[in-house]
Amino acid sequence: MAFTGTSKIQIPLRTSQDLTKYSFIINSTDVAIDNEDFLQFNYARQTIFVSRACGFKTNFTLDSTTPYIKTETSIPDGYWIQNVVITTSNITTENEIHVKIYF
Amino acid sequence: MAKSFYDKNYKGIEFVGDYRVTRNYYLAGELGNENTTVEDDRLSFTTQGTYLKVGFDYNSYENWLDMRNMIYLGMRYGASTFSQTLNSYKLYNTSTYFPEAPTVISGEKFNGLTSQWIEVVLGLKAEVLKNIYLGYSVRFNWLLTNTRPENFDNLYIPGFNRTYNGDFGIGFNYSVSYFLPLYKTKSTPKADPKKKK
Repeated sequence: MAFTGTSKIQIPLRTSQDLTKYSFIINSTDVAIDNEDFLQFNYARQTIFVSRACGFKTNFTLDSTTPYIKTETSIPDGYWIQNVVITTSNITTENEIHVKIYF
Repeated sequence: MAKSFYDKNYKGIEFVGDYRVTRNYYLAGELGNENTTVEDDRLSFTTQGTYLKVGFDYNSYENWLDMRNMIYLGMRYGASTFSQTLNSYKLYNTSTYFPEAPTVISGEKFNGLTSQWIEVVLGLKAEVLKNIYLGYSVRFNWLLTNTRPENFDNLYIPGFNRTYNGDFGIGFNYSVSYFLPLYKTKSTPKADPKKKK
């Protein structure tokens, strides 16, 4: 997924496992200044019945001890992500902020 | 019972009776047991249970002596006790970024559920061969009470049929029945227990 000139993004979590690992690449279009960090989110899942037509949806609760794990590329290029703050660990709707990434 | 033969997901039997009280009014009742598996697009469940309906029918068809055809309008009060088993379901996901998660196999069972409702029935029964009747009816149902399972719903209730958003439901029934004369008098009353479905 590519995001340009925005401060808010939405990324999905895997509904079939308890972790999702993403690679975040800043300045991805310019090989000279790009930088890749990995962020893995750990959570517990809960399935909630919605309706006959929709079936069940998934609510996520970010793990209280290790909600995320930040790692480097195999050839380290320094972290561009300075800080990760969990604002809401219960993820039940797409209309609120759950994580803030400071860089 | 006929539906049990052609629909492998349905097993049910219903006993129907009516008792003629006056020239045009019948006391009517149905007692049945159903075991239905519904395989919807996003989930599959099995409902098992028993139901009882009592009420009356008003026959608006003028029968000649010894004929028992009916075009009727009736009402029923129905009640059912049943269980739901959630067999499997798919997870709802608005994002297509990851491939669809595999169907979750559950098997969670909810016991001791009950429902009560009112029905308005419109139907007809005609004698096609000696003592054999073909019947067809439309039912409009209105739920009064309904115990819902936790984190699921009663998408089907034995006797009520499929549920919809809100408390109303509709059903179509056909029946093949035979007339067992218990006793015969020159005029009313007559009682005929029949088997259908």
